[in-house]
Amino acid sequence: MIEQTKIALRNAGSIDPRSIDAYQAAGGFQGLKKALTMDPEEIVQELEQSGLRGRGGGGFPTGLKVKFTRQAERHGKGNKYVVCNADEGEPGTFKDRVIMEGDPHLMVEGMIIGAFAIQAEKGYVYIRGEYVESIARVEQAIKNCYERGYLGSNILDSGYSFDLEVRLGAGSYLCGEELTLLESLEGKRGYPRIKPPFPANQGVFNAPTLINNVETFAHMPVIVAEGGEQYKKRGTEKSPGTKIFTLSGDVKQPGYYEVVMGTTLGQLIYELGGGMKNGHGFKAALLGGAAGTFVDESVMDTPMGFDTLREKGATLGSGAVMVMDASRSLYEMMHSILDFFAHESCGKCVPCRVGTRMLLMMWEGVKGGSAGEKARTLEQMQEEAEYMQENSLCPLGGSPIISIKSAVHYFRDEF
Amino acid sequence: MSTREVLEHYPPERDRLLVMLHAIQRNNAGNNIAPADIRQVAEYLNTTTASVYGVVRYYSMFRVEPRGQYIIRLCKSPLCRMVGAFNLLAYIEQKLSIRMGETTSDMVFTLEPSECLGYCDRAPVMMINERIFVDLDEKKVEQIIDDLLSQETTKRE
Ligand SMILES: Cc1cc2nc3c(=O)[nH]c(=O)nc-3n(C[C@H](O)[C@H](O)[C@H](O)COP(=O)(O)O)c2cc1C
Ligand code: SF4
Ligand code: FES
Repeated sequence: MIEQTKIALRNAGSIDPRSIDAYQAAGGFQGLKKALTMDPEEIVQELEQSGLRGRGGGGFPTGLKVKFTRQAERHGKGNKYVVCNADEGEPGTFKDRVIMEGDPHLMVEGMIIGAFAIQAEKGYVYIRGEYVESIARVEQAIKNCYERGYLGSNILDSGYSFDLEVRLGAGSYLCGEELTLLESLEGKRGYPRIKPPFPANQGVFNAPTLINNVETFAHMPVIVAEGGEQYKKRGTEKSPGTKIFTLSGDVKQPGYYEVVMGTTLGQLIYELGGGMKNGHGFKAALLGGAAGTFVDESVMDTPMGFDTLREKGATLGSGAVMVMDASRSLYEMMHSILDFFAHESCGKCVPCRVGTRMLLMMWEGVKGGSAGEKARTLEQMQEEAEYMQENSLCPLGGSPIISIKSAVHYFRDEF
Repeated sequence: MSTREVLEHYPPERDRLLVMLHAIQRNNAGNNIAPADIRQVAEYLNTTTASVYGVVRYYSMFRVEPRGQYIIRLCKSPLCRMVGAFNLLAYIEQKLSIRMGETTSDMVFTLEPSECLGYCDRAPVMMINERIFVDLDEKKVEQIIDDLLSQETTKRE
């Protein structure tokens, strides 16, 4: 029987999230206190050593990102920034909310460590506007940290100063994409920027910026406190550490579970999730949200990590796991996903603006059709979505192909 | 509070625009950001009305037109849809005699779609103003709406 291994969720649900004393009593700020005695370069090394990969969906090595941002030239006497991506909009995902509501000081501590590593002057937490409780908790945690000298000038007498503020989103999925988020953070419409330059060199206000997901920051205090080598003992070779999976759909105990990387889908569904409910068997899971992949029974025993899933044509993504039983319609699920992208396309470039609508129309066109018709249409859609991926301005236009391809691969004849 | 007073809580910096717009919208009886507000924000930030207007129009949580006192945001993302969000939508539309996107004639309710609200383990989900409601079915929705309606009538009496 698999057990949870809690790093990002180690306090969530067991301490009062409003109280900095409670956080301290639970071992909070050990990582930061140690970090402030270290050479920032050493922190970068520990993060690299840990093998931590971004928990926002992309899986980019965090240490490397911190290193690039640390090395990036300042523009004159300008600032460096740290930004926390708390826009959590990927359907099926709610892990960042649980961290922010349950243990906001942990995320803030992680951000201060990241900031110290790159010697940033200023940071922002960009939280989606709908997350009312997360916003209140994070604001409270920041206020607490100022009062106790963990934020502001001369943090804990170290000579290092760092300021942190909250900024809000307002209902745009695309603003979770990092470059679009930075536009939005500057008070503009959420139209993407062209990559490169990357945020490490030109982020918010065009200054070097370290942008990471909430869960990613929540791992930093532990990595610094115990050392990257120790941290890496958890999880798999290529995806070390733990991951929060948010389980929803036809299981008996949906919810959030933090487990070591390499845990299988089967363990998640049948052991932690209590198995299928309603007496129907398992049909499919959608891994990683709308920008994720459909998988069937054959993936049940695959250890879940960024690379192991990729080998199976699947994605880990944000850790969303939506489970469908035999009574569910894959056609409808695909329809919802296509609807979602058509709605969230910002319309700035033609391939995505027209493409997302075209995919939706093609799929609606075969409603009620035979399995053969649907399979043929799905293949045409795959071509269209590939074209979109190649020609769109930002990664949103390249997202529909992900689920379509997996649908063709695993369920071609079952729609 | 006047819009000007709301604005003066913040330094006049462009990166605070979305935070300001949320605060203005919350402060306005119509749960909206009216053209007059947009002009004041532009003036406060020393920018053009067109540029502020563009931002208000871009983000789905902001509205220029006045809305009801309660904004119902019903999640229509994949998981909620799988477990019946569209049935609930039809139910709410019929109960309030409005369609998605509309406001009741007494200006009490506005019904809007939302993407995933982050409670998928307890779908279907909706948000009314700042409160989340989970594990919904028709009965529960009826109760929630009736409770709000009776609060409204007592307030008005
Ligand atoms: C359309 C789109 C939406 C995204 N939404 C989010 C999001 O809500 N939260 C998040 O952390 N990353 C999101 N990402 C990924 C970010 O672009 C970026 O990779 C992430 O913030 C990096 O942080 P990490 O390395 O810690 O994962 C999104 C990406 C795309 C293309
Ligand atoms: S790919 Fe889509 S979301 Fe991205 S810029 Fe183009 S239209 Fe906008
Ligand atoms: S899909 Fe509705 S809350 Fe996530």
